[in-house]
Amino acid sequence: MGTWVHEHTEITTATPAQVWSRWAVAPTWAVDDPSVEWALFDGEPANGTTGKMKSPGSPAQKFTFTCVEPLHRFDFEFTLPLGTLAITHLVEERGKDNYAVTHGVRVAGPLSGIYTALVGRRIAAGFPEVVNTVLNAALAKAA
Amino acid sequence: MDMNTSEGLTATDVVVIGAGLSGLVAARNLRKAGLDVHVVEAADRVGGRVRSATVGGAHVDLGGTFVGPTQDRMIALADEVGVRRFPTYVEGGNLMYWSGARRSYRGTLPNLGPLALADAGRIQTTLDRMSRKVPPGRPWDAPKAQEWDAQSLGSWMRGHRAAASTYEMFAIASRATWGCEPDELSLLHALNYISMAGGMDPLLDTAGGAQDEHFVEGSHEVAARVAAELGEDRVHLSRPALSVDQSGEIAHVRTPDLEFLARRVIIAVPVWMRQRIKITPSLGPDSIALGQRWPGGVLSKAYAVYDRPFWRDLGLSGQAVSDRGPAVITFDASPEDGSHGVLLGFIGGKQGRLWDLLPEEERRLRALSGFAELFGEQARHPLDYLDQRWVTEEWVGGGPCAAPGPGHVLPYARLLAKPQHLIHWAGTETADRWSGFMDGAVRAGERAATEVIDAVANAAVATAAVTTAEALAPALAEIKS
Repeated sequence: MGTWVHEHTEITTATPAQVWSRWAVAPTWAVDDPSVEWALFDGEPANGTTGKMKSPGSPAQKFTFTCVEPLHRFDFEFTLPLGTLAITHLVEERGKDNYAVTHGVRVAGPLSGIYTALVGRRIAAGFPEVVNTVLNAALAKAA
Repeated sequence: MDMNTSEGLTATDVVVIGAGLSGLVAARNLRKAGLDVHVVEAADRVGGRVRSATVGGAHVDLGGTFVGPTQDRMIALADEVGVRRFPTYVEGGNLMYWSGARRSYRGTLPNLGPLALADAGRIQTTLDRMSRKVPPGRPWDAPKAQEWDAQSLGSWMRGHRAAASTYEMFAIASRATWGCEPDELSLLHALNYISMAGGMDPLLDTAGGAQDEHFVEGSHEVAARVAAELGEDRVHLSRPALSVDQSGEIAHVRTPDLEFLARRVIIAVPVWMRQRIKITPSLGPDSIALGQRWPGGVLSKAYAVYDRPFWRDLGLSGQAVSDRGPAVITFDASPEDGSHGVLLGFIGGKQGRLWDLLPEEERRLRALSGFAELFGEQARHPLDYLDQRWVTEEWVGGGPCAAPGPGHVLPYARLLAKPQHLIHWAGTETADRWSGFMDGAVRAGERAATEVIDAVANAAVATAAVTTAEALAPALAEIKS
């Protein structure tokens, strides 16, 4: 039992608004992340709003937004048997016109070790590509 | 002999198209053999895939950089023109950034644990063994050529149950070596490439391998000095060859403002650039397909220059592999005297494609973020930074070499260097050793020059010492009329 956390940060010129336009719009998830087949929100992203996401080869999973602070933080969580898997997103100012964009995964609960091995590390391994794709798309949209 | 026949029209023995290392070496050898030569180059500089710049007071090679054992022709050429070499810095630990964690290791293969290392060794040994069955530069003669060309390096690795870590490690090697993903590259091409290098260790190693040394004055200086030997009146910059007409026994080469009549033509451009030159009569569908189906890879380089090589103080070599990118492999490219610290990062394949799209400041931030994850926050604040995106070079259009996909080697590889009437081919892709490297470029230029010298000598015997001017007179008269 314990909590496993992994984060990946990129420094970028993409603004929080540009980044937010990729995080908070469900159809962009499948574009930016090869591990997402589709995603749906049951309402505007806000604390407590639910949604569903499907990965290739897996059934759709329900998730709940746990911390949504527009243009800053965007977290949601999957409830698993004896565990939780949270995906976190954070954008912060880092010097003039630069921002730090962080994607993270947090696995907690009695079976966290198993979920980390089965899912968490695979999600973490994909972060460099996903974060870069998100930022490229954010910048391209602005161009 | 050179014969200025009229304004902008010159009769000569040989026209070389392309002033990269290969074309320049070909021209140099032809001139040594007493032939009259002109070189036309589309870009406003010589060097092709070698180029240099000064960043933060330090010299950097933006293209071909390293040489190593058995790359004898490039080394000999550099020695002849007085460009010195020095060993690539390898003291200390190498770094790997893998799945979000940074670790130190020694040697070529990153330490991913005993099982992963054993699996990587198994795949490397198998590839080495298979490559020994490919005659260097003659992949069509490999006993399983058809079978190997029908699959990609990636599909072969999956078929041999390479572990995920092994796959990613070889994907990094693929991005840095060919500028592509393993799934984009013919297995037969990969094996031929390994064969031409003498094995995977010579291909990938720093000390004792292809990254063993670099040049004090830079690799571009070799090209610049060969071009200077030839003379400004012989190397015509900003003159893209528009067409080569070899309908008769004399070739007619056109650039926007210069025209040449020549006994022979050497085309020394990247294979995927061949199709930009209109050749009459057509070389046929297979030659056209070769230019289309042997695309250049996507490989860019990022240089960060610091006041000193600070990583050496930390016991680090500056060499690293990373699955986070954008740079997948780094080297210490500091000058010989260590007066500056220079980190060089290779960015290739899918990461290169993403990165090449970015605005300049964003590329800088991302590249330096990657360096900082490896070498610490100090790496984020260089004196200066520069990157080179080879895909954006109008007359190069990719690199470091061709990356033919599955099914595209066997039908076309024979045509790479095969002379077609008056046209001979150079460029590193046409080499039978170290293709894709500067050494391959030099070898190919030497081989093409030898072909032309032999051809012209035979023609001279046949025509009983007809001079160039006499030989070209009918063609000239036809053009004037």
